[in-house]
Amino acid sequence: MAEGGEWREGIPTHENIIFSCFGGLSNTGITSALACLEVVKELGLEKVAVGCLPSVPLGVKPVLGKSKAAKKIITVDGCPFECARKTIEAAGFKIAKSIVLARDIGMKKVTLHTDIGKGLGLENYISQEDVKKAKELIIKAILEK
Amino acid sequence: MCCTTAVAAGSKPHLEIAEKTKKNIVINGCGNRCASKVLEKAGKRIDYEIDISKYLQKVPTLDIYQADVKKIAEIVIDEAKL
Repeated sequence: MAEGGEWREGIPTHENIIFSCFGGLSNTGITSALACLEVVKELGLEKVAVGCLPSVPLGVKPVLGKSKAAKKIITVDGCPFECARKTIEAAGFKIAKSIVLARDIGMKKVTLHTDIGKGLGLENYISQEDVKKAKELIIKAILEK
Repeated sequence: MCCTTAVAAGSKPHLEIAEKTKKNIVINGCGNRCASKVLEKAGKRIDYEIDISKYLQKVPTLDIYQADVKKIAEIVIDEAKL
């Protein structure tokens, strides 16, 4: 594993930042999280990283600094609540692209409490095809001029 | 897993989930404790919290080891008495 170190202004940082809603109560939020991680694996950490969304309203300086330094900020929300977009906009950042999986790749939101009593498990609600579609859409948003 | 950001944004259904659940278990990735702070600011109780950087070195990488994931899961299950 690589060595750590706190970031401060002036130190090289990720070219672009994605903020995923990372909502774990539904298939759409989890798909957002998985797709964002796949994007980082594919493009590499120099090109893009996933920002810590809860730290933004709390004003955590390294996260705000990295977001400020990013060429593009992309939000990836699972559902029409658009928690990620609203959180980033409320912090005063300009969003290059807002992606909503329920809108942009036609995902049907399934809330995971519906599994109670069935016990089908998380994997039953996640489609690798949706993860792939979301990943491709995010990559397109990052790479387009 | 509840959407932390929705709690921060004051989403009513998510705040109600935090209110009605038997245990609110908060897993922070680093010492900033952002997830805990979000719940604290929302006035919701925290029944168990962990900062996993006490168990793993915080590094800017996606080289995530399944053994580390399993180790943290076992700590949470044990300490939070799930």
